[in-house]
Formats: sequence, structure tokens, C-alpha cells
Amino acid sequence: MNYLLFLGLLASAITLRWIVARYPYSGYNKFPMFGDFEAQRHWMEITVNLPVSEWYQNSSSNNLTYWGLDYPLLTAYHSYICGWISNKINPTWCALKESHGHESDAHKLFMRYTVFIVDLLIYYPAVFYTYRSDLLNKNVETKKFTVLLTNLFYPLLILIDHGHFQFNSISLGLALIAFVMATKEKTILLSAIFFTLSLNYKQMELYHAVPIFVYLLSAYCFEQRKPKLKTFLSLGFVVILTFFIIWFPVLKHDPMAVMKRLFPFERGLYEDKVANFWCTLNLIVKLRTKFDHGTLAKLCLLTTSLSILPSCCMLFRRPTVRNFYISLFNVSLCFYLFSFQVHEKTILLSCLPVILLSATYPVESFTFLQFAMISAFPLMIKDNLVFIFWITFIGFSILAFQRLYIHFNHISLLQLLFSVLCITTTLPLLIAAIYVKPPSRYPDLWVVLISACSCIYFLITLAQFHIYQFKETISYIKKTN
Amino acid sequence: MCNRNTSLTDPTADFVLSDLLTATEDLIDFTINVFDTIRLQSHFNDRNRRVNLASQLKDALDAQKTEFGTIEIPIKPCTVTTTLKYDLSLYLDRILQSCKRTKANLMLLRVSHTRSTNTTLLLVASTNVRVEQLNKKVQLLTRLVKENGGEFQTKKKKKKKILSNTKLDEKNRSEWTLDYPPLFAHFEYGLSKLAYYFDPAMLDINNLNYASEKTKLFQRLSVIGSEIILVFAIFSLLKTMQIGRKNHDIPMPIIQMLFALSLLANFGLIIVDHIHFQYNGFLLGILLISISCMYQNQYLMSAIWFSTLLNLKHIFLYIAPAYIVYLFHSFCIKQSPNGKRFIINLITLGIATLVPFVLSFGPFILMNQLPQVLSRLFPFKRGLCHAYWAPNMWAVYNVADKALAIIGRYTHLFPVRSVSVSMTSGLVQDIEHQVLPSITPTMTFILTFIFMIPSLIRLFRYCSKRTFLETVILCALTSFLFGWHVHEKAILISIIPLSLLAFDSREHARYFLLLSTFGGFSLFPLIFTGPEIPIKIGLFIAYTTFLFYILGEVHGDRGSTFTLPLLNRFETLSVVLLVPLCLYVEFLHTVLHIDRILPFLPLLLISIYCSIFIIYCWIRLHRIEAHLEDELTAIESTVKFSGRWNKKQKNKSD
Repeated sequence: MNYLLFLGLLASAITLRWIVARYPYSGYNKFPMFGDFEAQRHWMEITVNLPVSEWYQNSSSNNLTYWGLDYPLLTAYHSYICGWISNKINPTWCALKESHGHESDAHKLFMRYTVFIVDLLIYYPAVFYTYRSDLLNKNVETKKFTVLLTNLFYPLLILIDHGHFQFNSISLGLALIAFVMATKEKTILLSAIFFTLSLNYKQMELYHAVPIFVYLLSAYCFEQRKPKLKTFLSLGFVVILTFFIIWFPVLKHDPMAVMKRLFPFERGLYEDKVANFWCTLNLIVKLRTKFDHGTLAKLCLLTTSLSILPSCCMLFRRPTVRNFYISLFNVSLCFYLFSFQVHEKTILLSCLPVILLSATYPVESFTFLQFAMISAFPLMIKDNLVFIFWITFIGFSILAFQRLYIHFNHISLLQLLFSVLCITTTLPLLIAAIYVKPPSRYPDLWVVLISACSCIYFLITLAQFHIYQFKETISYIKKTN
Repeated sequence: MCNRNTSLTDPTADFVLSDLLTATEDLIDFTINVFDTIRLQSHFNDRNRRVNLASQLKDALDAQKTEFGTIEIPIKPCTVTTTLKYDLSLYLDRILQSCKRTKANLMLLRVSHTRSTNTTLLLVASTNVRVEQLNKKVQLLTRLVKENGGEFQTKKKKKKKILSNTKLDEKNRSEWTLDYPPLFAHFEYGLSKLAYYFDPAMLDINNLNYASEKTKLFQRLSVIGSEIILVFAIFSLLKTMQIGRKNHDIPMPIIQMLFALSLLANFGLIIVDHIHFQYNGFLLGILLISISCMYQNQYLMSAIWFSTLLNLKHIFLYIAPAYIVYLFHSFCIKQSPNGKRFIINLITLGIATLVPFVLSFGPFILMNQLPQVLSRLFPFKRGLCHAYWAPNMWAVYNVADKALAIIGRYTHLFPVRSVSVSMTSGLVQDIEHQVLPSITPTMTFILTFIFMIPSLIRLFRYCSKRTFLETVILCALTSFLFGWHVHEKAILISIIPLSLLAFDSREHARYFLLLSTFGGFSLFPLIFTGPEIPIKIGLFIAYTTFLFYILGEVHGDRGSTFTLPLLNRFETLSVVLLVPLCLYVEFLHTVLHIDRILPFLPLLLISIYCSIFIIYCWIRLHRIEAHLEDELTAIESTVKFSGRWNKKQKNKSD
């Protein structure tokens, strides 16, 4: 068969990641706080040298203001394993307190290898599993291939994991497996386990939790409008058991301290410029001066829950696979746009379902993926990744056009025109952000404009996908009647 | 020296200055102890030469010591003459050998690949210290080399030198490591003009270690820019050769696109040109243009292009016999009805060939510099094999000799000559064999020529374009296998023309696959720095698997469970065995700490393993018979399109 083709694709994906890995990471040479790279290294240092009870506690040896651990326990365990290995290789890399801001070529290489191995163990298997058993594009080879290519070569994930340095591919890979497994009755329990693992790696996966919960509930726990208690209970049991096993070491000590670290409400509406609704609204209304912290948090909660409601309702009414994926996208984008304390990297969570839909709605999906990259451009400037950003951006555009050409029969030209127009109007801003010095009154002018443009496009896409979901629901109802 | 320890731990510190200072200090010790340190005297047998070298070194140092006394002076290149530098590098090899015995690091060998002035001096210096310090120094040196970037530095030097001597003062040229023919120097001169607009600081002659991001970008861009020639060549080849014309299953445009991609994304070219830094894509582009001219029956144009190529890089002398025979036969004999015409044709051909030579060598002949230039071009002083053995016949020969020596020593069946320097390290350049007869340059020439003769005779008999191309490939491969001091990069000269045939002929596709796999793998030791190793492996796997997939589809053989497309079981096994070999060479060797006992084992393994299969391909390529009739119908027939798809198109248009 064409195992050769897949091997070739895998090897090219790995090569692309390593080429990106040659570029600097976040916070390189930026005393005193460095960046996410230092955060990951610091977590290895903390987890290897301290007992579990002190991981999330402020103490003399664990200063939480210096990159305190703020991800759930699986991240901590993963850091522990990596830290243990790095201790074996070179103890100075993770020496407690001594190694703050450690930078060396060998260590950088080691860290790059950790991401590479994690990709190899979790992300690529997830991607190929999706290719094999995704129900949405079943039996349509070209569509399946589009999803595979997008999954393997989407540059933003590569840039953030291998350039900026994070471990998004673990949580995303686990979530991907969970999504695909959730669509088959045989594997829903496994799906629940995988999703719980993913949730315990990064709490941001909560963005996906609502649709997957609604979908599992609606698709499998009801039969002719009567609840199937057995399925529901077994799902609940599996989830609780997984949670229990993962949280067991901290349950004895102080689980609330961990929770406090995971949801830091004191950190404000947003930190950097993010392409979400609040940050864009801030251009017109200075929210943070008008309202206090608590009010803003409540406002966010209200808007977020209101905005996810329609999508969830439609999913509950008609739990089809396509509806499920669209709903995943809608809900996660709503969270990104309206919730509290959002990072720019969180857009990856909305990109994941869009990648799954990239063969069904090619134009919208690819444009969204490109805009997600554009919205992360300020981050790339900060990390010195601009050059590789352009290379991968152009490469991905070529890939997108090739795939659009393949799916030419399914796309509307008007939509394509609109998308190209949107991107071409935004690109000058990116170039200006590098070469044109902003007026001294507005030092962040270009960054804010980029964020605002992306945010507007995200809102448009959100509306579009709500319409698609609505159509899907209606047509399904018509069909069944 | 003073602050070495701090600079070792602090990655941001400026290495170059402090370490050059250290190096010079160590070098003084070195000159004093020069007789003690080097006990291996096989090369430096006569005492006069040794004394001479030591005094030269001392002079060079004395001249610089005054300048280095005050630290304000920045990095100053040590002005050592070429001959001295050459001797130094020979010395270096000896010393490295002794280091190997005292648990030296593998990295030393790799460093020694690059023979820029600074590294040589530093290495010489570093051998003088105790072994436990060696490791630290090696780390530092690799860093230096990485920053200066081996080949990259020599190219830059050339460029600088040429621009600063705008009058093309050829006398000084030989001091630098410009060992390409004159026309290449003119090419570099043109580049340096461009570079002036890009970043003037790069051409400052005193600024040897200058390798800013901008410079790197310029150098990389110059390689990419020069590959326009390759793109042009591919286009003209697609037009003239009608690749994919005979294929019945896959439309011709798709095959042509795949062909173009397989050439442009060639693993060897990417590794050698874009990571290691050379201008091979540009040179091979000219070769392809010349072949394309030949396919269009423009013999004179082809000859001119080829002699231009010879003036750019004389390594293409390898395939000159094929050109001579073919041009002589088809241009002079076939096209001349009578003797008068024959002589006219011969003279035109001769003039056309000589014009580029006159243009490029003319100034040198006028200035009486010819012997010097020639001695730079043909360095017979260097050994039979390159520091890293290219995967050719001599690698096998060396290993056989070594094996026989061991057997002979234990069994006393045949005499074993005692040689002061063993050659297992792969480091020593002039090898003295212990059992088998030692090889001299003349012998390699004769052997190469003898093995070329069968293919040349066949070319003379059939004299078709396809036989010509086959002969070019075979000549290149033969010289690669039997040549004197062959670089591993020279395999590209046979792989690239072979790819022209791979999309049309099933048998050629088979050996193209094998040759590009093993030839590509044998380039692995060129890239050895940490972050590039995964890139290299990934690229190799991606390129090789895509090639197998594409050619399998093109020739309608998808392989089975146990065989790769187009290969038989034995060949499949040989390709698959590369996986454990690669794992061992790149990872296990250092992880298991075998590098402390046998530092050069990986290089040896790679060159032996690849050489066996390259020789296999060479033998099999001889046995593919020329498809004479095919050839005649293909090129000269007026029907340009055939095949099922093309017929369909025709029907549609009707």
C-alpha cells in the first residue's frame, strides 16, 4: 500500500518541526523573567527536587511568582519525567534555585528533543488514527487526505510548540483522539478517559469539555427520548476514576491550592494584546478602569455562557458528527473571544476542530487557520520567529490553495473572494508591524490593529459556523421527518 | 589563559578573541616542544623540513607576538603561508592520531575537516594540553567551527580576497584556499560586487571570523539565486527530452512536475549546497544545459557549455572522455561526408572548446602563473582518500588491507609490512598499505581509464544520445570509484544525470533509487551538529520514501510486503538495514560511549556499507543494454506524443 507515502509525510513533518526548532525560543536571553521555555525548565526543576505536596505551594524553595506551576497534574508528572532524564544527563540543568535562567546549546537541544518525542508518542499517532477512522469524511480519500495534511503541517502549532516552546501537542493530541473516539459507540469510554487526560494536562481543554459532554450525553445516553442510565453512569464512573487516579497524590495534602493555581482570577481580564472581544472592545471603552475585577469576571462568565448556549442546544437536539465538530469549534471560539484571562496561544484550541472540518468547509477553515496565525504574529515578533513565520505562512498558503483546487467543486467563489480580500487587507499590517515605527503616542498601534482585525474576522467566522450548524440541524430534522 | 573558565560557562562571551590569544600562547610552547610532541615521523622524515617548519612557525609567531601583547587588537588572522598551513594540517593529522590513542574525542576528527587558519592553529594548540582539558577545548572548538561554519568560511575568504584585490592580483591568490579553476573566481568576484551593496563590513579583509546573520543570509541567498540556472536547465530538458512521453498510465505533465521536483529537492543538493554550503546546484545546472544542448543536436553549444563548466570546477574532467568520444564521433565523423569537411569540423570543435579556457586561463599564462594555478587545482600531495573515506573502491581496499594485516599478524601466512602510522582512523591522508600494494596517483589514473574503456567503446559503436547519457553517468561513477582523493560529494555528478533516465526507463529507475539512497546516506558525516542531525535524517527519509513512492507509481510497481517498489528482496534488505546503521551511527555510538574506544567507527561503517552498494550499482549499470531502436524513434520521430493519455487528448481535440 502507500505506507511509503505516509512515511514520507511523517518524515517531512518531523523535518519541518526541526527546522523551526533551530530558531530561538521564547524569552531567549531576556533577563530576569525569560519566557515559556524557562517556565518549562523551571517546572522540571521544581518537580524533580521537591515532594509532590510542595509543587503548588509557595515556599522558600518554590517561589510561585517566578513561573509557578499553573497547569494541572499531568503537566507536573510530565515535567517530573523530563526533569529526571535531564538530571541524568546533566545535573546543572535542573539544580534547585541554581539553574534559574540556564541557557546552553546542549540544554536547548535536550528541550527540543522532549517536544519531539512527545509529538512522536502522542500527536502523530492521534493524527494517523484520525485519518483512519474519522467518520466525517469516511470513504472520501481526498477529504481524508486534506485533514491529514492540515493536521501534520499546520504551522501555528509547530511554531508555538517547537519555536516558542510549549507542549500543546500533548493536550491537543489527546483531545483529537477523544473527539474521534467519541463518534463511535464502541469507544466512548476510552474517549472519556482520553479527554480527562487531556483536561488534566491543560485546564484550557475545558473549552472543549462542554460540547463533548453534551454530545456524549445526547448521542449515547438517550434512546427514544428515554435516558440510558447504564451508559451515563459508566461514563461518569470512568471520568471520576481517571480524575481520582491522577489527583491521588495531592488529595492528601491540599487540592484547593492546586485549584487556585489553575484558575488565577486575580490576574486580570487579559495580559498581552489578545485578539478577543474584550481586548478589541477596550479600544472604544476602557473596561478595566470602569469596572472592578469581580464585576468583569461575572460579566465574562455571563457572556460566555450565553454565547455557547445556542451551539450546545443545537448539538443536543441533533448529535451528528458534523454538528459535534462544528459545535466544538463554536464553543471553543466563544470561550476564546469572551472568557476571562485568555492567552493568544489558546486559539489553537479552536484550530483543532477547524482542522477536522477543513475538508468539509475548505475556504472558511483555511482562512480561519491563517487568521489564527496572523493573530499570533505579535508573539512571533516577541520571540524572534518572524522569518520562519513568513516561510511557513507562505508554505501553508500554497498548501491551502492546492487543497482548495482539489475540492474546487465544493466551494463558493464568493466566499473565496471574501477570504482572500480579508487576508490581503490584513497582511500590510503585519509588514508595517516590523518595518514601520508606530507613532510615539500609540506604541502598540500595529499590534492592536492586528488583534482587532483578527477578532473581527473571528466574529464573522463564528456567525458563519453558527449558520452552518443551524442548517445542519434543520436539514437533519427534515430528513428524519 | 586568564578567563577561559568563565568564557566556557558563559555562552554569550566572546570566544574568538580570548581563544586566539590562548592559541597563540599555546603555540609558542608548541614550537619549543615541537620535536617532543611529534614522535610520528613518517611524513617528516628529513630533518631539514622539520627544522624549517619549526623556524617558520616561530617567525610567524614572532611577527605577531608584538601585536598580541596589547589586547586591544581584535581578531587578527594569522598570516601563515599556504605551504606552512598545509604542513600544519598534515602535522595535525599525526597529532590527532596520537590523541586518538589517548582517548581523544570524535569531534576532533570532525573539526579537522575544516582547515581554515584559525581552527588549524587552535587544534595544534589544543593537542599540547593534557587529555582531561582536551574535552573542554573540543567543545569550544566545535562552537568556533560552527560559528565560522567550515566550508562557508573558505568561500567567504575567497570572496573577500577577490574584492580587496580588485586588480585580480593573481600572485596573492594562492595564499588562500582557492582551489577552483579561475572562472569560478570570476563568479565569486561578481558575487562580491553584489555583497558590497548588501553589507560592506563582510568584505573587510581583516575580519576573518565575521559571520553575521546578514552575511549568512547573503551567502544562502546567493546559493538559492544561482540555482536559477538549474531551474532553467530543467525546463530546457523537459522540452528536449520529452520525459514521461512513453508512460501509458500517468499524464505527462504530472511526470514532468515530479521529475522537476525530484531534481530541485534532491537530498544531496540540499545537504551539500544549502546546509554545508557549496555551489553544486549551479554547476550541475550548467552540466544539464550542456546535455540538453546535446539532445537538440547543438554540438558546438554543448561543447562550449561543457568547457565553461570545466573552467568553473575541474572535477567535471571525470566525464570529459564521454564528451570527447561523442562529440568526435557524431560531430566530426558522422556529419562530414569528406575529409575536408572532417578537418573543418574538427577545428571548429577545437576552437569552441578552447575559447572558455583561453578566457579564464589567459591572464595566468600571460603572468607566468600557470604552474602555480595547476598545482592548486591538482593537489597530488593530498592522500588517496579524503579525511572521511568517500564510499568508493579504495575504502573497500583499505579495509581489506587492514583485515589481511590482522590475519597475517596472527597466522604468519604472508609478510606484513610494519607501517609507523596505522590507517584505521580514516584520518591520515597518505595511506601506506600493510599487505596489499600501496596505491600511487598514476595507478588510480590507469585503473580509472581502463574501467572507462568498455563504456566508451560502446558509445563509439552506437553513438546515440541515450548511450551518451549512460556513458556520462558511468564515467562519473567510475572516476568516483577509482579516483585519487575523491570527495564524497562527487557522487552527485552521477546521481543527477541518472535521474534524467529514471523516469523513462525502469531499470535505470531501480539503480537511480539505490544510488541516490546510498549516495545520500554517505553524505551524512558532512552534517554533524546537534540540531541539524534530526533535520538531516528527516530530510533523507522524506526524500527517499517519496522517491520510491513516485518512481513506483510511475513504473507501475508498488512493491509487496517484503520488497520496496522496483527493488528485489536483497536490495530491499540492504536499504532497510540502513535504519539500524543510522541509529547506531547517530545515536547509539555516543550513548553507549563506544566513541571513546573507536572514535572513527561510524565513518568507517558508513563508507564501507555505502561503497559496497555503490559498486554493485556500478556493475549493474554496465549491464543495462542500450535501447538503440527506442532511442532513434524517440528523438528523431516527428510524433511527439504517444501513450494512452496523450491519445485520449488527441481524440478529444479531433
